[in-house]
Amino acid sequence: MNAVIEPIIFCICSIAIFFSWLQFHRKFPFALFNPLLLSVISVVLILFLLEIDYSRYMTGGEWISAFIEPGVVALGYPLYKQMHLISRLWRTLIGACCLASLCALTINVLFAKALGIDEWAIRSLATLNITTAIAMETSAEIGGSAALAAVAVMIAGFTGSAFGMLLMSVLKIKNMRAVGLAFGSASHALGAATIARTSMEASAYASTALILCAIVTAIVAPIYIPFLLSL
Amino acid sequence: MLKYLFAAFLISICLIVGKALAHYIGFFPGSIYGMLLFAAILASNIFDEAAIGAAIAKIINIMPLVFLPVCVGVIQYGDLLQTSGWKIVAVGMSSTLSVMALVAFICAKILRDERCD
Repeated sequence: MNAVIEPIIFCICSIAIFFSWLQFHRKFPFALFNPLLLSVISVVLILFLLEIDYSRYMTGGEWISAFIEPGVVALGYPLYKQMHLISRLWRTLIGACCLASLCALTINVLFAKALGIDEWAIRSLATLNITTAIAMETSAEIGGSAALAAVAVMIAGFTGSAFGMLLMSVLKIKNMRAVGLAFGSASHALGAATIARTSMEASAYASTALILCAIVTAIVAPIYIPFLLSL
Repeated sequence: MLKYLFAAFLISICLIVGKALAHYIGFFPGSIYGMLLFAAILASNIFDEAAIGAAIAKIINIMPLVFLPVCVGVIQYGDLLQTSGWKIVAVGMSSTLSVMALVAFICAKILRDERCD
């Protein structure tokens, strides 16, 4: 009986915790109150306090995880919404996203190697600048851990949200289209959400960049990361 | 409700075709093929985008939920985070700020000359 009820309880609790934090974030829309981050902390604490194994939790959790792939497909919608922008400025956008993607992968892998991080962990965090769904899929494909990839993605999101505007003012970048591309290509959806509060134009560019960078990284990473690791 | 069901149906079809493409062509994960196919279908105007657009926007809004169980898996890496946690944060912060600065700097120069209405 337990084998049937327990996964259902885990599943319902996870959903309830997420929606509670989502409501909280709507009232207090700060980057640090990210619903996913707060939900992860809450669930980890509960599992820790009740001494529940991760594998036991995943008997219910895997029902929710089954929707990751459809979630990636749904990202086709924002891609479609930005197609007018992509068709008009495709050279600049694709060029910027290729540059951002290659630059991010290079810095992540080489810096992590220099700091002596384990190779499997490098494979997990190499894709940290792209949107969670595709980062998880890509890092799993190249031999990393999807869980670690998701955590690394949040670091990029918070860094961009917290310090992005400060960096732009230090660099004296006033062109909001360039600012949007920078936020989207370096700190994905969190960056795009942050910049949306300042400029809707920048937000459209950020959304475009986050999708294009994710696609470019998914293409390039399986070839480029083994090459960087072999250096 | 019908809009959600239709959006889910369309996404499922794209994912199935995407997985088939990934199986036969390889290169991308099936979900990426599915995403590109989904964007292409919406762009082709076969279906009324307005009918399913709102439903998909809501789905995307709550999408972080599906990552929750996998993210909780980070508890398996407690040792790694204790020994190398600060290194991972250092890598993440430095690459994010470097990429941001580089893209902003180059794009500000390019987009200044580009016409945009």
